[in-house]
Amino acid sequence: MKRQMKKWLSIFMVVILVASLTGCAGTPSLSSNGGTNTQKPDNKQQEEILIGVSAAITGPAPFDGERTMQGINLAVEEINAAGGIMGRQIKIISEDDQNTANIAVNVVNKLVNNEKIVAIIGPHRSANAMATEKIMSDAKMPFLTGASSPKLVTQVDNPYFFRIRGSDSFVGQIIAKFALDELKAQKIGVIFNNDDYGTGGRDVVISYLESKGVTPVVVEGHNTDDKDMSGAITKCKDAGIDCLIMYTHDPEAAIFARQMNEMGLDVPVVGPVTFTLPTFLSLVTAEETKGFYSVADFVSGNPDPVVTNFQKAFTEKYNVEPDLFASAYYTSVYILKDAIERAGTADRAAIQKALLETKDLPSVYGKLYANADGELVHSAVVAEIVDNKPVYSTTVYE
Amino acid sequence: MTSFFQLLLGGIGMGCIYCLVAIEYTLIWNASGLVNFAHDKFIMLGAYIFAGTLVLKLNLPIILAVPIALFLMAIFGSVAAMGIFNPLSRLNSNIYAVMGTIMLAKILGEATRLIWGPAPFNLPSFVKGAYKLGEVSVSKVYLLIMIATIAILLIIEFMFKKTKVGIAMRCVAEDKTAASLMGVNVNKNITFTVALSGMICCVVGILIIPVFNVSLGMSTMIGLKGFAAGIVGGFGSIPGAIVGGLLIGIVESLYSGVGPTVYRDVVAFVLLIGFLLVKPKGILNSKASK
Repeated sequence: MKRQMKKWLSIFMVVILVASLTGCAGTPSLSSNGGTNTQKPDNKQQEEILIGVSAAITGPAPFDGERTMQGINLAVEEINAAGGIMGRQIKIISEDDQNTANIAVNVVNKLVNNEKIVAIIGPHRSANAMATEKIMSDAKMPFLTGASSPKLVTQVDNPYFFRIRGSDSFVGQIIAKFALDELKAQKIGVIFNNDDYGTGGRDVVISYLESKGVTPVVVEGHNTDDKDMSGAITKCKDAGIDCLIMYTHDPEAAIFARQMNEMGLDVPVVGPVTFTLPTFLSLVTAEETKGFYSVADFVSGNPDPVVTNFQKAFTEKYNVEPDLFASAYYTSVYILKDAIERAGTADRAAIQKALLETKDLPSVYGKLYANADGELVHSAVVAEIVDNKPVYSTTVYE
Repeated sequence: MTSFFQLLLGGIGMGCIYCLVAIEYTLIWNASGLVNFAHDKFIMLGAYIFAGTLVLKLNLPIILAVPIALFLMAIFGSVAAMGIFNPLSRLNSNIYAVMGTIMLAKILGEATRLIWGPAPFNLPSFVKGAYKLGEVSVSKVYLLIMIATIAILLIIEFMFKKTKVGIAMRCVAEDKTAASLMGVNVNKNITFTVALSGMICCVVGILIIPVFNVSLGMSTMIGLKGFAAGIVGGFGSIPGAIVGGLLIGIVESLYSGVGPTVYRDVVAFVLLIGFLLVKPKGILNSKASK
């Protein structure tokens, strides 16, 4: 009798497992219609414009993906509510690239093979953009990414690549310039993440420093997801640095901030946007981020009215403050809207041509214009982290 | 010289963590002949339950939250044992149980993301700061780790020598069949072992919160390096776990002071492969080297 019960129990478990699997399969790949279903378009005449998105929903920084989708969805909702683009509603087809290069390749392949998709937003991280850029240029698919590594224009010549953030070739120089001119640093340590983003930033910083006759005394790398930075910090202490330039992602930067404080490495730190991200600030305390400076794209407290309006709309809808990802990808949808309207038609080749002609487009990053490399953002904001909050200091133009 | 001591201290601290990880999966191996590939997710789950739910959501004081978290993880371990380890260990090949634990790891990882969200977070005032011994700064958390490790080792030692359950565990480790012939309920034993291992995982999870922050990937590397530590020290032996853990922790930390820190993680695995090639029985010559 007992054996029979066990047999039924195991069959029951199997049925439950299979049922839960079908539940999973039923979840559609996060497609959104801008959230406003009351605006059902007249599908017979006005076909929707399909835009693909490769977002980092899971992986080492899933928060970034969440903000990315929130920014995109807010923009799509606003545009659709105002009548869409040329009277056509936008529909987002988004996939999770897990913030990993090989998954990003699969995701991008899937998106470019969908003939109805006319442009792709993402993948975000430089490593993933580098891994997928050829797929998109082969498919003649214009794509917009926030990947900031200079390698995307120096090592690669892709006419379909469009950058929606300040390139590190520009941001990196501002960082190094700030360290030398404002902080009067003489012995500089450079800490970088070993991926395309970190190494790209490192190269720009070091070449600017050397053009001014300064050689950094410590240059140390680490990997994404590394949790112990005491080796690099010990080397910095031993070398007696007076300023640290840090080019890495938020989780690793947070661990650095904490361990620097614990080990008594008390020097100002300059870096890119990382230090303004809520995902970084929520992991550290005010004491640990004293003396941190950030050259960022987007900082709340920027008095520009375009920025404050966006901030208000985002905070009202989602109950959280927007960050770099929200603002960059919100802007990307508006960039596409502008390009499609100028092109007069929504197809890949026309959009690519129109994007290259982007000029004087107002955005949360100032006036956008496209240079020959497809880079659209040409200004940056310097902020100091005071009391664990980024405080807007000034805007710098390329 | 101060850098040397600084790194040595950090190395011992992390070494204790690897040692605890090696102990908790060695216990399961000794009791059931299975490796728990979900052990790093147990660690992560312990940390999330403690930090995410008990401290941050229910606002319990630390002194209450710790035993409650331990208790919950013990229950979770028992359920895992009754659901996965026991039934699958009796099948004719170990591969089924191994696959079961690998799948459990995946499920735990995604379930954690769905329940607590993907954003890493921190307990701001939990074991923060460092003591200064001259030029060397000793993180409070590393001290706590060392004290906790010694305490756990003493408790396990006492349990193995003086309590009925502990002696039964040693019997099962020696020879499962003989133990069951002597009246030891092997199933109950495995359940108890996994529960105990779950509690140790919970302790590890709580201890590493000040070092690593609470995130979905917080324990992956520790799980792998703890595994390497057990093999380097001698698979299946508790003293081996201690030796292996400390060795990997110290060598890795000292290396990061002299070599490029990008390759820091490589150290543990180079040691692992080296020992497997040259001395597969590990430093302390364990019998269970299969």
